[in-house]
Amino acid sequence: MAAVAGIFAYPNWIGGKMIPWKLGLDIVGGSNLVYEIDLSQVKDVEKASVVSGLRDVIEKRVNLFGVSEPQVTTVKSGDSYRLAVELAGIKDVKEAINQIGLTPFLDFREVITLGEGDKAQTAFIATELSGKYIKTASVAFDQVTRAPYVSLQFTDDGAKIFETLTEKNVGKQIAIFLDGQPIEIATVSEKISGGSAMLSGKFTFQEVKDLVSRFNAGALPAPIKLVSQSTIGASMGGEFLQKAIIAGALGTAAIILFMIIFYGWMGVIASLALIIYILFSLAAFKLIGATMSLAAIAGFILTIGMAVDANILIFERTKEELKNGLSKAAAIGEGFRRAWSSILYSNVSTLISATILYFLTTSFIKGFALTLAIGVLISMFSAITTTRMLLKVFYRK
Amino acid sequence: MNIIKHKNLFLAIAILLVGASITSIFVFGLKPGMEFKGGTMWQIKVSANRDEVKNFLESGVGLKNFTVYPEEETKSLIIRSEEISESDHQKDIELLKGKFGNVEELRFDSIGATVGNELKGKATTAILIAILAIALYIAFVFRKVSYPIKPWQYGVSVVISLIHDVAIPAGVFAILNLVKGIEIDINFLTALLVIMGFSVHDTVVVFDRIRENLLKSGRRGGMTKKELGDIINLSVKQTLKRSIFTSLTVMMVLAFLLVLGPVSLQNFVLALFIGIFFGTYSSIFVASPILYLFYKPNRVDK
Repeated sequence: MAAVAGIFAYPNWIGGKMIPWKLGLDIVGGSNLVYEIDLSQVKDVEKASVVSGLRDVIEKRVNLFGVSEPQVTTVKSGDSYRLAVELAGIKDVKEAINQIGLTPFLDFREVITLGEGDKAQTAFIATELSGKYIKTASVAFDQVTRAPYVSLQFTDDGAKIFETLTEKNVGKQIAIFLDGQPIEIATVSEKISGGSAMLSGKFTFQEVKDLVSRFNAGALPAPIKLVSQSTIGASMGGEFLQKAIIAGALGTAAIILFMIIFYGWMGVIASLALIIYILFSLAAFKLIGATMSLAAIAGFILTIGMAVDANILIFERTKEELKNGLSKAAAIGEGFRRAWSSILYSNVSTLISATILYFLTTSFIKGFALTLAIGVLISMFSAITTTRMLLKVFYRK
Repeated sequence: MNIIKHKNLFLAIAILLVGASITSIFVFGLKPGMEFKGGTMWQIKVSANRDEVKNFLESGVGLKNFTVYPEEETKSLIIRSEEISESDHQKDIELLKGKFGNVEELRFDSIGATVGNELKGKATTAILIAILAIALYIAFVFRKVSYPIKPWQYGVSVVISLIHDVAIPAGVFAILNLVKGIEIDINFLTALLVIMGFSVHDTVVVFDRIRENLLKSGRRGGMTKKELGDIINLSVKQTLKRSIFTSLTVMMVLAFLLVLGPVSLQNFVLALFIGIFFGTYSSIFVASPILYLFYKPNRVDK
């Protein structure tokens, strides 16, 4: 029996040292940001690809923050698309939000004049050409004036659009808008094919460099707006984690005591099985990479309480059968068989809850649902293990 | 342990509690948390007391519609208000720093109203789906007709006891809202889903036993109500110890979490604690009597 238990426990210890815990935001501290994507300018057909492109861009940007495992996911809610950014352990949230939020949204607009003479007003008409068509941007220096400028290279599609645009507006002006502000109004002297453009103005070298790096990290294919954020400082989290662990440990100790008092030596076996269950679950959580937020840990502690249930079911059943006069071996067999259907059916209902929770909610609760589900599955598995140990012990007697 | 004999008493208690809960929900109202309404929750550590901060926020920062409460454990202040945009957030921090010196930000949650509303919708859907899924599941598990109880009767009685299990914690929280201003957040709804799962867990064990005993009796027809009552009583008696023990172990663990665990989880654990207690109560004292009440001995049966 010791050998069986030993074999199961051993791999857990190894796993324990190798793979680090994936801790939730509410423990490590960090930020969860949700951005709404403005797709009003995007054709329906292209929406999905724009969103996924946007996600990639933001992810590249976020990776520069030096946060371990940042997560950028797209979330679709009804008609709107959102981007959820999770930055665990980030030091300066303000800076991060600036970096993400101020990513330049570039678009080209035609310039027309309304009215005449004194009442002349400049108006801008949006065109199709925007940041998503920019392939690369680089710093360049004017041959003559040595002034720095941004050299833009469009994608093939972008080049075509640009060509049509310039062709249509020869002799007229085109404006380049950055985040809704015009930064350059240029006169088109000729049709420009080949897809290159120059963005010059009274930029300093640093400004040009910044613009170029932002463009290259990816120009935003669509504008985004921060709609909700959740930022937790790290200091609180650590204490909470400790408390949760202590509560869990004491709770487990109480259960073990209880089992031994009421079930005697069978209780001892159940306690052993419980400890193995805990080790197994922890190993599983690590392997699957479940994020352990406080709620998730609570979920796990809950399953500890529930794990004993299967054992209780088996024991009670076995006692009953013994009373009915069956031999020890037969009683155990019957006990296990009869109890198993109850165990299975009743655990499934908890799994139903967990599944619904997992698919319909967000990160913290997802973690809880995951630990709950894994815990339940493993507890069912460990119930089988317990009985095997029981049988072995009984047979020896 | 005669459940059936005293069924009226037990059912009466249950109905009373549910009635009281529903009343308190309507009278006191459930306060939707920030996650559902939108708004901002800001937790800061600052060397000033609550009133100083409150006054400054009102006059110096110009915040409207907000509350400030001290939080014991972390010696911080929790500010709740309407949504504060990120740029305002940064401005406000500077203002606070200017007035009070160092400000440590423990937590800042800001949720847009649309996002909040959506979450509310999702959460309600989740609960409805859960009830439906569970009802279907029960009907499926008990599909092999065990005379004289039909599968749908198992399902309906489970749903009724589920409503009981969900209503009472909600009622308690409505009262808590009145007394302590405690809100309903996503954690509470999660707790409800867990309670449902667990209560069904319990109930299934009892029902499974009832079914087994009915099969054992080998009866095909003409069972009197008394005989059914006896079998139900027996089944409950047989599973009683197990039901109580299981709930006890879970509640033990929860009790430790409640007392020793982190403050942020306390409401969550409390909801679970109440729900699991009443969930067990409903499995033993409500679900089975309902099955009994469903049975109408047919004159067609011999």
